[in-house]
Amino acid sequence: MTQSVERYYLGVDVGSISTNLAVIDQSKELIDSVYLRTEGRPVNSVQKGIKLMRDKIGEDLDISGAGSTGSARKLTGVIVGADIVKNEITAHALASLHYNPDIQTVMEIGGQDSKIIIIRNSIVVDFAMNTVCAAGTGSFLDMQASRLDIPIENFGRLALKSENAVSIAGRCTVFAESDMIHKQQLGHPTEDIIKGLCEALARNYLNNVGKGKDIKPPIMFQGGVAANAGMREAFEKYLEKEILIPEYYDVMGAIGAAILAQEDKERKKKHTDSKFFGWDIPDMKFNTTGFECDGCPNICEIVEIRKNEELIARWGSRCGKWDVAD
Amino acid sequence: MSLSFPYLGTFSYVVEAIAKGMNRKDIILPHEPTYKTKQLGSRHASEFVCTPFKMLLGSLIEVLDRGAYQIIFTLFVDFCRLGYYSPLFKLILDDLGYDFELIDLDWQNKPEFFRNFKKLTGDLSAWQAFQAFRVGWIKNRYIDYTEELQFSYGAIEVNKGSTRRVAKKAFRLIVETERMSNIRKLPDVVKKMFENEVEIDKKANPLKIGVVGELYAVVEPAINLHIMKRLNDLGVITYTPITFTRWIDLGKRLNFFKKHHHKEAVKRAKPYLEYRLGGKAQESIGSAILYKEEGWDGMIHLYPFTCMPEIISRSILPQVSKEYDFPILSLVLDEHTGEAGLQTRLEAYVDLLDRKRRGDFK
Repeated sequence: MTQSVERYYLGVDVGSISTNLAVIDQSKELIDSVYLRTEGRPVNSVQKGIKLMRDKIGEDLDISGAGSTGSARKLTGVIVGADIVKNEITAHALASLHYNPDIQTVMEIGGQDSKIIIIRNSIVVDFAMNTVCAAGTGSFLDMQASRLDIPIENFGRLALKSENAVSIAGRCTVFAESDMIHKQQLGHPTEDIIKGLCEALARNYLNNVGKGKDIKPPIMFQGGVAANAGMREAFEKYLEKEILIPEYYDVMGAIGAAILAQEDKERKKKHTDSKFFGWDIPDMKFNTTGFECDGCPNICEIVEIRKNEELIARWGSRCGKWDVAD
Repeated sequence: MSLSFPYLGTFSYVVEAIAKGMNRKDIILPHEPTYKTKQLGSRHASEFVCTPFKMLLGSLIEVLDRGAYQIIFTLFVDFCRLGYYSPLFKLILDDLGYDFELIDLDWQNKPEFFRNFKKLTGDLSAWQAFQAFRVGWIKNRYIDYTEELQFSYGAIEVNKGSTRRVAKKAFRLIVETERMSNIRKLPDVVKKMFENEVEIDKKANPLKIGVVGELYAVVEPAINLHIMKRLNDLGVITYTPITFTRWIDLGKRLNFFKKHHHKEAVKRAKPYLEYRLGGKAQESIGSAILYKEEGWDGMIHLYPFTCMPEIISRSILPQVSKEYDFPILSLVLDEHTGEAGLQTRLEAYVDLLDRKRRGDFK
């Protein structure tokens, strides 16, 4: 093995819509990243993502630590052999602070949830996530784009073309959709409707997630929805402040997870090898099976994860009797 | 004529202890609410009623199906919908065709309370009935104490799950113990049990988080998805001042020298919220101030979806949090709260407190 001085860290962020991977070096600079869709199969997408990453940076690169985050962080942690499994709020905050240490507000809008993180003096002091409703998240934009038959990539650009946004109720996706259909049947141009939708979502975000929060600049906007220029414009309109979009806005979670892995490794005095399974993860066979436990009326759904037929994790029971996982 | 009651966290142990003292052999003990209980309650309750109502209704249907006839419930005339729980239960269960007797222990009307209570005790004299109740409130103190120990030891236990096992044993012991001389010894016995049977990490420096909010949301793990245990697993000591002691513990209530957390908290909440609203609205706000002064790291505020009083305190808490520089996490709970979302928030909150503390020490 080559005795390289450089150390590299891998971060994997598996959300409801997208799977992101990032590799950073020890000065926390991004080496390469991968962004792909989860498509409802997180295990496959992690394997696919690692394959893409391997093709990009080569399998000789040694990983000194791996971190996982996102709503599938626990599963991902088991599949890649992560050294640290952390929530996405901490991951996003760390990544933002790396790119701009003065940052005071981070707005992140992902597939299923949106969050706001308030930072003062480089420390997270408050955060909020959307509660009982998924209105104003990426999934809804995605759905509307496909209904209007517009590629999601062009959605924001179209919104910018409009001079005159129509008003759309943003409180609830069901109402928003019927509002949009109503406006479209009245003959409003698509651009105006899209711009109206972006403004409705921005309003909903600020009224719901951002309620009562002290939103101070610099403000960073990240997550998949940050690609949407229409959303950025809408936020700037309502906040009357400049919105920064980091260069790697779509993989910030993964970068954060990689930074967490690095911090975790460096905090330990003695050097330990990473638990990372290695670049041949795409060639391994992962099997997940589920069954219902009938031990009590809770009827918990238990999931088993096997790597090459070896049981590596099992969870899902409320009482903990089936749990195999550290 | 079987006697039963809806399940309500560890308070169920207290009711069980009182029922034992009442000389009743025909008690049907409710099971812990499960997924099925939630579904049962939601099916028969109106959609926008408070989540606790649905859970309690589900629990009641379960005990009635198992053959209960007399049901104990407490009738509160509160400032929110809680006051309608009991009459609504009666209407819904009547419609469903159950044959039962709902005995409201109306706490605000003390003579009526003891008359009803006496009715339940069968052949006991009034004095004996009162004694049974007194044993109940004393045992309630020890059950609260056991919980306090459980959620402190749980944060620093070496072997996962050992605290929980000891606590379960302790609860049983408290319920089963008879004669006042033995009962009085229980706190020492329970403390020794924890000291001897739970191996703790002495070097740990755990965070401390108070849990407050709506009564049912705080005391019933089935709705708050075992939040106390989750916090313990994240290495956090937790404590809740919300227990039943304040109502049933006449000994403490009549003791003028005793300081009550909830009374103090209500007083401190006055500048923010002057009137009683029902729920624990004022107490939640005041607790934040008290916990800050006592040096706790943070506070979690729990409330069920559509809970009117707590929604009001939830919108006042950010102001308190800002003025006192005290991080507060408000969590709304519903019958189908996704566990992943709750876990993410808790982890992020604990991270926040941890980094804040490290920042403070710098």
